[in-house]
Amino acid sequence: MTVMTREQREQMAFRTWVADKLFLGMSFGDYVKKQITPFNIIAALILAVGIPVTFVRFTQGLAATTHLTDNYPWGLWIGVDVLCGVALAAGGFTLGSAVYLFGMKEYHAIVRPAVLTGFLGYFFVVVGLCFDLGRPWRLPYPMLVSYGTTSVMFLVGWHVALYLTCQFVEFCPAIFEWLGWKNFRKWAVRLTIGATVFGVILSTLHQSALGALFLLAPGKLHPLWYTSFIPVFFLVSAIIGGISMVIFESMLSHRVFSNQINHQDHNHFDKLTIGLGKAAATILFGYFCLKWVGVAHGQHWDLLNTPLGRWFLVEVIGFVLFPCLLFVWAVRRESAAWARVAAIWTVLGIILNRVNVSMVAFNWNLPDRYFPKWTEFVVTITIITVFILTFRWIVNRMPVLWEHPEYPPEYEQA
Amino acid sequence: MHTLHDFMLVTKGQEYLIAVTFLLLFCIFWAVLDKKKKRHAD
Repeated sequence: MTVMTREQREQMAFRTWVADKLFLGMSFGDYVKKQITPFNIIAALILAVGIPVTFVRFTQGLAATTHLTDNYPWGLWIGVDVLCGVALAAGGFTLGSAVYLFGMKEYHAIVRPAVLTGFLGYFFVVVGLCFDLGRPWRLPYPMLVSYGTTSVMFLVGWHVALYLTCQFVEFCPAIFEWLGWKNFRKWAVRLTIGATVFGVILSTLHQSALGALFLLAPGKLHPLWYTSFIPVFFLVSAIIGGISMVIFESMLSHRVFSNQINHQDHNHFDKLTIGLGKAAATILFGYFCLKWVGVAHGQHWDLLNTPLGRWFLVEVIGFVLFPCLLFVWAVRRESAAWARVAAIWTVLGIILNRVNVSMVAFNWNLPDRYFPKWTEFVVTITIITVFILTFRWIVNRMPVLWEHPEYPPEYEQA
Repeated sequence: MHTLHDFMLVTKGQEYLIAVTFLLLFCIFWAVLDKKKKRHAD
C-alpha cells in the first residue's frame, strides 16, 4: 500500500476541487466530450466568424467593419447592444427592489436569475460599447483622468460602472455559496440591501439618462419620438422590459435547466409568472398613456398620418397596447403560457422602440439612410452568444435556480 | 406664437384631458385586471 505525501494529498484535493467546481465532477476528457451538442456547435461556428471580425474591428477601425458615418455615428451596436441591453437588463433592479425592499418574498426564487441576467446584461453592454468606442483601455478615463462632468455620457459611464458593481455585490452570495466560503457569504448578504438601494437609485438615473442623451438631438430625432418626456419613457419602458425579460429568461431556464428544478417549483413559478404579468400589464397601460401625452405635448397629431407616423402607431398600438391586453388576458385566465407570449411580444416591442429611437427615427429627414454592415450583425450575434454561454456556465455551477440547502435565503439574513 | 390662454386651452388642455381620460380608463382597466375568478363553494 502506497502512502501519499502531504504534497500529493494537496495536489489530489486541488484536482478534485477543480473537477468538482469547473468540470461538474467529471474528468476533463469526459467534460469536453459532453460539450459536443448541437447548440455548442452553432455557438462555435458563430464565434469562428465573430472572433476574426472582432480582430478586424480593433485593428482596422470602424470604417472596416461598419457603415457608420459622420451623419450616423451611432448604429446597431449602440441601438441594440447598448440601448436594448440596458433596458432588458432592468429585471435585476426591479426584482431586487421587489424582494429586498418591498418584502415580496414569494418572488425570491427568481431574484438570482434576474440579478444574474442584469449583471451579465450590463457587462456585455460595456463589451458592446467597447466595440463602438474602441480603445477599451480608456474605459476608466471618465472616472480617473478626464471627468467631463458636463456630459450626459459622464453620467451614463459612472452609473453603469457603479451599477455593475452593485449587481456583482448582489450576486456575490451565490458565488460564495458555490465556493463554500461561508464568512465571505455572510458579509456579502449584509451588503445586499445597501447594494439594492444604491442599485435602484443608479438604475433610475441612468435608464433615464440614456433617454436624455437624445434630448441633445432635437433636430435629428423624429418629433413623434422626440419629446421632453423621453427620459421618463426610457425608464418606464425599461421596467417593463426588465419584467418581461425575467419572464422570458425564466421560461428558457426552466426548460433548459429543468433538472435543477423540481415539479412543485414549476407550479409555483407559473403563479409568479402571472404575478409579474399583472405588474407588466399595469405599467404597460401607464406607458401607453404617457406616449399619447408625449404626442399631445409636442402637438404632433398631424404627423401621425405620415409613413413614420404610421410606424409610430405600429409601435404604440402593436407593441405597447397589444401586449398590455395580452397580459390582461393571461392574468384573467391565470395562464402562465399566455403571459410568456405577452412577455416575448413586449421584449420585441422594447427592442423595436430602441431601434426606432436610435436608427429608424434618427436623422429621419436626411436622404441617405443607415443600414448596418454584415459585420455589425456578426458582432451583435457574437456578443449575445457569449452572453448565453456565460449565463449557462454560471447556472450549471452556482445556486441560481435552486437554493443551497446549507444556507438560508438572503432576505432572512440581510 | 400661442398666447398663454391658447397654450392652456390647446396644448396643456389636451394633455390634461388625455391624463384624466386615462385615469378613468385605468379604473376600468384595474377592475378588469384584478377581477378574481368566481369559485364555487365546496
